[in-house]
Amino acid sequence: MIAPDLLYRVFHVANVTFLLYFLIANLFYTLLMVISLYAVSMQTKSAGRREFEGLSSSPVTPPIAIIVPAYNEEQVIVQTVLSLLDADYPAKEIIVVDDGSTDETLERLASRFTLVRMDLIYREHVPTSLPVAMYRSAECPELTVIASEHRGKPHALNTGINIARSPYFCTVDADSVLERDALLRLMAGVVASPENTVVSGGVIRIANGCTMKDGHISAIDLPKTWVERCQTVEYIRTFMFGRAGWSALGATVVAAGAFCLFHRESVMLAGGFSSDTVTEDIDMVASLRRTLTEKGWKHRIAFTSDPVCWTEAPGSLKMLARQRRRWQLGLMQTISKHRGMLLNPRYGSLGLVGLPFHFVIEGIGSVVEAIGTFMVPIAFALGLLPLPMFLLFLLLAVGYGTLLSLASVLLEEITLRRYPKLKHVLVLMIFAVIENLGYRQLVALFRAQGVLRYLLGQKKWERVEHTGVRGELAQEA
Amino acid sequence: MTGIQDLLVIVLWLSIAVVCLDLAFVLFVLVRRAVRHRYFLRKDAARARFVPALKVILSTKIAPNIAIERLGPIRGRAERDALSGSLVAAITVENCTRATDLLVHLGFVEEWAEEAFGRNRALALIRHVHTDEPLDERSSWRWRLAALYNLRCFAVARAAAVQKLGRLAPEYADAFIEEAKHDPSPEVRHVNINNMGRSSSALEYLLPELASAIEERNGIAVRTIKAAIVRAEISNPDVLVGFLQHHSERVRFLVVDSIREVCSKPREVPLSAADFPPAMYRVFLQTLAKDACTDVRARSAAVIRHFRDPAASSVLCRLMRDENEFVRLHAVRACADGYYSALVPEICERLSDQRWRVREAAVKTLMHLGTRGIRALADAFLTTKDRYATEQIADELQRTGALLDVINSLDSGYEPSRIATEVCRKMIAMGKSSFLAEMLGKHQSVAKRERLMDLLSTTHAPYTTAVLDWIASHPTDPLAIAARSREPGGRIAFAAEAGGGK
Repeated sequence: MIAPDLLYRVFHVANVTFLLYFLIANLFYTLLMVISLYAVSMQTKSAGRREFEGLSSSPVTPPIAIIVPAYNEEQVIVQTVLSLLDADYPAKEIIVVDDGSTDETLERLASRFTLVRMDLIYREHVPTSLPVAMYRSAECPELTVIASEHRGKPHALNTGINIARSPYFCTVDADSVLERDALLRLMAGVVASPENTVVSGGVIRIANGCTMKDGHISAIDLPKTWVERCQTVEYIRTFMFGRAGWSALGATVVAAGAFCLFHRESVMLAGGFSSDTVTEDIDMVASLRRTLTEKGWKHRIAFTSDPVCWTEAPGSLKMLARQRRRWQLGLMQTISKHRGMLLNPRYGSLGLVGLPFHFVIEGIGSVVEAIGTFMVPIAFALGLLPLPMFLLFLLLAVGYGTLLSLASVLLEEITLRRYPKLKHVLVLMIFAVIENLGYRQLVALFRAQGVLRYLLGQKKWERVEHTGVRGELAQEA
Repeated sequence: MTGIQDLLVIVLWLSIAVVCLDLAFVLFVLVRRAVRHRYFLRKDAARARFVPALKVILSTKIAPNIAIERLGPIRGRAERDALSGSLVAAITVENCTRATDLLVHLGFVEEWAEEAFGRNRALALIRHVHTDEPLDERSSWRWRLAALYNLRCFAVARAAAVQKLGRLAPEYADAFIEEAKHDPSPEVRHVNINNMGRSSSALEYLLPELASAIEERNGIAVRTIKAAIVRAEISNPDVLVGFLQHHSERVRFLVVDSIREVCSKPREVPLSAADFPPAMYRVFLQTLAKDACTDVRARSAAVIRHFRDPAASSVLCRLMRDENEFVRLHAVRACADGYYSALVPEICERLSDQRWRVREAAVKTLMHLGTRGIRALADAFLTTKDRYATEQIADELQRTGALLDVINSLDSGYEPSRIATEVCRKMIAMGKSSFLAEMLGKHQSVAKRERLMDLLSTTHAPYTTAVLDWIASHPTDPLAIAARSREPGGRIAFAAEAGGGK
């Protein structure tokens, strides 16, 4: 009779842990939701004054270098560069770093933009390998293309930093397309802030399902598959609640490298992008905060909720799993690398709240969530968990999730309103419910795998292949 | 069991609450969509009606009450928003007074002023504009609740109102701008500062604000104030002179930099010393060019260049030899003006500067100085033994496309052709042959390609070899044909015969 008793105790402890985890996580998410509702709606109203438009003719608008690391992006690279060339910004340089592509990425750029090979001076401000070749466009003087050996995204970004001459640089993924005024909107907050803004992240939206023309989204539509639709809702929730909420608390941990502005000198001071983790963008935010705090330099790391960048999301579960495992592995690596900041009051709200939350709830919590998703129903089926506790679990794990997702769709509707048709909003609301019934649990499982890989000491970068929107892009092009 | 039953009841109630909230969110989104859809339909229709009518009204002198009659009935929020938006968007320097009168008669000015300053103060301000009735000291109790009014939820609406008020005719705008200066919220003051471009007394307010911003006392970004100073009408330059001698070096630096921006604005006739007030001219040449702060000295150079007189040349010459690299850098950049072409030898000295930024600036400046500068650059490139100087020149020749001009000069007369050939040879000797090789493959002139082929025959750089191989593998390429006929056993012909190429 000892074994069933022990089993009961184990299940009891586990169930209480799961419930506590969901309770704490949901409390935090609710807090973030309330803060974000206020911060994002105020930001939207401020942006309504359209002061950012004045930057386009202002003499004091700082120049930006747009760095696009590209590896085997032959299908999308031309559209991406076209969108960047067409972006409304008075002084920009576009630097595409071809990270040793084995496809025709470089050739397509060369033929479309009439690239001319040159032997330019290369100064290594941050450590990386020497470029193989350098090109400048005869048609577009602001475009520089660097060919380098395949050494990964952080090295490609560092190469771009070394070539850049502007005080700020913006990282843009090769499969992403900026809205025409996105750079102006992103810089508006930086220019208006009395503090030195070293990072400013923008909103990422899913381009799957949209139509592209001349480097711009010409028609917005929702993706066709359920995986992509669930991701659409998830991205809205992440950017509208997560990023905006943490930014308002001054505890930004994650800035999406797909579209993020950095202060170049500060990044160089932090040693550039590092290959220590598989998510160089998250690592950079923590490195910057640590370096600048240690030097006693006042700085600001912000999220701006109105500039939008459209990017391609994984179209299949297999690719989604790869992406989420990598993100989770990178998060764990970053927190481990900067563990000295955890609960350290010197780093303010990031050290006291942001990093601990990401470690416990987003990091370890993903394992708890994944195990709980399987264990709690089993415990209920075996009669080891009473019905009210099971229902409470469902309420916290699923029901409350629908509330948060629907609230994020509501926030999207109040603020950005990027989805024009009523049908879009209805579908988004339906998927705000559906994503909590299977998708979230699957993602939790992928993330738990990422944590496991971290514990096993794996550092593999899992490449996500782009297939979904590419065909549409190629057709339109 | 009671505990479990209680928990069940709580969970059920919580579930019901969550579902109700879910439904409320859904309903809110749907209702909002419908309401907004209706609002924008009406607004678009109203805009289509008002815009042509306003065009006529604002271009002719019509009394406001007649203009309002012509606009027809204005019903509901959507139509009022469409009208105010169209009117504000249509404001120009010429129609500013007529548009403002119309906005006043339509009640928009009162509405915005009330939003920005409260009802009583708004009415007092409007009375003050209309009748010149003196304003009381700010009696508004609102500013005493600064902490509350600093909250963004209140400040955002005030900022929007202040922005619109700043676009009115000066007699109104000045009064509202003056009032908004005292707003406790940095967001409102930021908007107000942006509005100040047309105010005649803007500098008198902006410069002290700049000093406060530097000391982080007013919560406004230095860039915002600087941009406003650059835009402002400079009616009283003496204020600027005072701040050019401010005790804080950061203030001096930013004021000098703002003047630099003002001077850099595009204009038909270039500035000269006569365009500057004598006091300012003297301060720049005698004080700021010798300032203890390197940033001030550096930025002064960019203003002094606009004096275009011997005194300015002499100061720039001295600054180009300053001990600080940034001063040298800015002084060299400042010489990128035809007037200073006599300073070419001094600029050439900077080609061997120990700092690459200065070398780069020297190359760019020489490129800017026309034939004399480019000739000096080519001479320096061919004669200097300084590796860094030649690297910098080679870099700029490629970046600016000047190397293409060099290639085009390969067969244009004896002297230009000789210099061009030497430049190409030096590039090849430095290992910077990629651009030349690229032109070997792509240049439209076969004669120039042949010249390049001759020059490149000494190099075995992989890229050059690849280009030669490519030409060899394309027998119909004009250069391949020319090479075969000219030199049957040559490199290209040999490769082509051996089936070379990649």
